[in-house]
Amino acid sequence: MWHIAKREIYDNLNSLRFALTTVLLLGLMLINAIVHLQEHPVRMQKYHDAATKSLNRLKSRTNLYQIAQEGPGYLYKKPSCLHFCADGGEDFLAGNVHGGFYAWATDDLAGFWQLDYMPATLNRQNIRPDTIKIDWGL
Amino acid sequence: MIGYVLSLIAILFTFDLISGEREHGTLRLTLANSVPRHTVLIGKFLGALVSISVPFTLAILINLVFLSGAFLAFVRVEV
Repeated sequence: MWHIAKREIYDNLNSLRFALTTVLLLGLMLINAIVHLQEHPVRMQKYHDAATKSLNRLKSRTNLYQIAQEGPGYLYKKPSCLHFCADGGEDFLAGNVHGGFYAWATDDLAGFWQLDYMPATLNRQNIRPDTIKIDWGL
Repeated sequence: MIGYVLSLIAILFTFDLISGEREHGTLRLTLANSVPRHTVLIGKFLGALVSISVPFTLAILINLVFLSGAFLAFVRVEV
């Protein structure tokens, strides 16, 4: 098996398509990196603004029991530094989750909160809801 | 974008793996040995995988160096 694989690698390394692929990928990655350098600071600024706003809102709420009951509000996802080469399904994943009030009442507890994983596009809701949770888990 | 291009590159590297060998007559020679067919297929798959991984890894590494250089220059300007 390794003999066949090695021969295949040698054949490919000596071929024109390997050189073309290398040049093409280098060029594309370079373009991606330049675009990333322009867009990443904007994304980070947007994230920082949203996170700061959410944090300030949380700090302004002084009733701890109310926070424990109603949740921390919106939690934002930090933009990935490797977005230029590994965007994956980022377009379909939400940039925030909502830790909000969930009506679940018992005799002792009036209610509690849960994280609400909203998809970035609503029509994707039934396709991969678990993917969104896994993404947030990681 | 990179994902689409990589998919096309994967096709470019693998479309003639078996048929090309058959055209050149080397497939007959290979299979004349006591090599199971799945070994030939897996060997060819691994060969193509490594061949595609090399330029991809190279491109990512070069761009990481480029980005870290640009980031350091940005930090120096800020300071």
